[in-house]
Amino acid sequence: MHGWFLMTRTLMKTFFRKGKGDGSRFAGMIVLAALGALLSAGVAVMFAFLGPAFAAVGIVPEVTALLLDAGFIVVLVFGTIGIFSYVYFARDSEFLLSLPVRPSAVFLAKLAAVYAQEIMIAALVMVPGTLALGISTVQPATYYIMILLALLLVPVMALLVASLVSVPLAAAASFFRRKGAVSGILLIILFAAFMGVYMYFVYSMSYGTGGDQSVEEILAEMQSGMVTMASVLYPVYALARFGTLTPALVGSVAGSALIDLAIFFGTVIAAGALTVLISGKAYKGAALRQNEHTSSVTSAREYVASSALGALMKKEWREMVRNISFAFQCLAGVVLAPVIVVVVSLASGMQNFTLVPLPSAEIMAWGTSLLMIVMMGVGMNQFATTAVSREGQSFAYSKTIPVPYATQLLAKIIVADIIAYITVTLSLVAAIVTAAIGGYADPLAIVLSAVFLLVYTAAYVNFGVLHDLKKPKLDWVTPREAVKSNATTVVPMLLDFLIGILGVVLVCVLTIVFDANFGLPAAGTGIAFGALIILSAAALVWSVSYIRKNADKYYNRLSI
Amino acid sequence: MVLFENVSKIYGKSNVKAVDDLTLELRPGEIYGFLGPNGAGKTTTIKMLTGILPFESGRITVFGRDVVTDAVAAKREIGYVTDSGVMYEKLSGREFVDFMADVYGVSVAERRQRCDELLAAFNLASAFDSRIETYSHGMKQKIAIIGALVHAPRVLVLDEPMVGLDPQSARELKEIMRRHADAGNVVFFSTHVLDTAEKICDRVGIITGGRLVMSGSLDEIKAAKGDESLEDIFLSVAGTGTEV
Ligand SMILES: Nc1ncnc2c1ncn2[C@@H]1O[C@H](COP(=O)(O)OP(=O)(O)O)[C@@H](O)[C@H]1O
Ligand SMILES: [Mg+2]
Repeated sequence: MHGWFLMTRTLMKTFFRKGKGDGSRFAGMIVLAALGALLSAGVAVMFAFLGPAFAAVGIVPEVTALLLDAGFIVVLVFGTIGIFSYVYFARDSEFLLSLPVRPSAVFLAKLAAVYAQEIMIAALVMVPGTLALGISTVQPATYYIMILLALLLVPVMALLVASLVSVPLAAAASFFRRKGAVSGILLIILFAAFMGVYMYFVYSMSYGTGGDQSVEEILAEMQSGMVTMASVLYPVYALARFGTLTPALVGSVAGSALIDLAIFFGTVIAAGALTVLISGKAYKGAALRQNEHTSSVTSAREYVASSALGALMKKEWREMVRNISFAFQCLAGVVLAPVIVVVVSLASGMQNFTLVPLPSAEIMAWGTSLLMIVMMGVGMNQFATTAVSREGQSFAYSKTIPVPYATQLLAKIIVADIIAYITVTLSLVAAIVTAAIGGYADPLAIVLSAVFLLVYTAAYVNFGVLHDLKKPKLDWVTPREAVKSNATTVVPMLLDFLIGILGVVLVCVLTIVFDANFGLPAAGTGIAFGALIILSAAALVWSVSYIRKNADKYYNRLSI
Repeated sequence: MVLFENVSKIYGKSNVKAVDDLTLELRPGEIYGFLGPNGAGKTTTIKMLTGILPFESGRITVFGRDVVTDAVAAKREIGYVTDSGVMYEKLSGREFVDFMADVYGVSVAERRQRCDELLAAFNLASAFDSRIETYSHGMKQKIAIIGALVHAPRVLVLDEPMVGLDPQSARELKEIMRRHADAGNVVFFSTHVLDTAEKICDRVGIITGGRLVMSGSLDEIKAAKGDESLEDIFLSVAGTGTEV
């Protein structure tokens, strides 16, 4: 226990200290906090408004549960990546395991350090929505106790699941030559399957309805659908029922609340015990095995010549794809973005089934898909925003090779563009197919969206690279530090989210206004997209010339 | 020829000059050993020469090319081996060599000819197609040296190159450095191992506290100091009790 405490403290210190302490990073944190606050405020306002509607339909516990589920899923995804790179693939494993501390203590100390980071993300995802929902629907005091419990323990639960999941994954991956790539692919498959299950529930719920039902029938169906969805993560649902004091298992409110609480805590404790038992044991062997690279022989056996630009691009690609943290951060979106686009598009198609028919439901449904492409397809891809940071100590080579800095940046930008365009194209196709099935495919909106994405993606990549170039994090030891505790990756992402939200709102509002006033929705759509495309193009042109002119200035400022 | 003219470097906000008014000439055909205790300014000097570090005052030229105003051309002349064994860990040795050869514009035939010999000398051929992350420290050092030599640079710069090398490899490296200098190139390396310096250097400089306190051929230095051993001279000028 003492060993665990000492180690946790040390790991936390190194985790959070790196790269702090100078003014501009502080400024970055402020911008970050401001953007986070803005997004939280948006979510809060949304749930404050929708709260009474949820209460009227009687689905507050279920919506609460889904909000907490979102926190669970986010921590599960990021936590698994974190456990892989920070626990299994960390370079300090050999050193830590040589200390007179039990392997399970090392494992739990590392888990605690990952927890400390994930809890912040979990807070961002869970707290604004639940708080607004609780206030707007006048929930009892237990609701706020629930928020606190959820904030502290839902990430724990997610991390425990993540650490259990990572044991077989790490073991499976160790059989392959390319451990990093294989575990990346396994992770992606796992999460795609996870999303698929969720999607199935959403789908079966919104398309089970026939055509001509009474309002009561539709309501009942919605309710039972929500209950099914919330029940996927039953312990979290139990916690939400406790918070809203909704009796479910027994008639009395107090009795039911106590049982629900017991279910939640029981699950956390059981998962904790299981984790200590299994992964603590598995950790030592797996961590040491992951650090053996005995068979990582590459296939090429002959010298291969290419141009300087080609050589730089190859190097960018190899250094990224062969590193599990980087590969996951940069490539997961290729699979996940289309899946999420489909899931969210299907969910937004549910609008057609709600009691309040929205004007121009088609453009709003498409707007949701577009927003998901902008957020997941463009913004979540971190190849651009870690372009320079990924170099780490090897940045010394960037300074010493006789290649102009602008060319070195161009190599990074081209690879980033390729990844981004593949992701965006797949997501767009997924969105179009879903829209066609859902019956809201509007050729004009689709074509204009495609043009917008073409220009915007390139502009975003340039800004991402530029933003990283201004203040890259080069002093990392584990790759995770380069991506995760690096403020430069988050600011462009949140900006992208914001641009996506504003852009989609613009498109929807103009379409609806032109429809209502002149009966010309297409004109509204066209004007909105026209403005977005022109702005993106201007940003793209500016960024290209700025990077060309200032590459040397920024590179000269950096040294290692 | 490499020329340092009144070069000074102050790191960030500190007031200490890591390198203080350095003037030094490195000539083709000779091995120049840069000696000094830890923290003397050797790495700083080398990083300024190779273009990694900007500096406040003075001028550095490599065969007439200014490392600041004509940076790419100057870099083309230099082959550099870092002290930290920094590497593209995820590349194989061959991929790394390919990368270096590509950016310096070396043909496949030249790579084969230059590298095969070095690989054999360093006994690295069997690991050449494995990822660099699987290499030991010494092996990383060797592949870094091969990468630095693949374009046959007119200036070879090595920062503490002997650290981590086994005795055979250290001898091979010394021979490689000798051959490279004999072919009419500049070889510039830093070390605090005096034996090495004494055996292979044509000229040495002693730097301490950022100042070059002595520079010349071994004979000149010994003559000036009354025929003491290099070690005695080093300890007297670099200050006794300094960690070496
Ligand atoms: N990145 C840095 N920031 C601040 N000071 C540094 C940095 N690198 C080196 N120094 C300082 O510069 C001086 C010279 O260091 P260095 O050139 O690395 O010495 P050597 O290579 O001779 O051991 C030392 O006093 C050292 O503390
Ligand atoms: Mg040094």
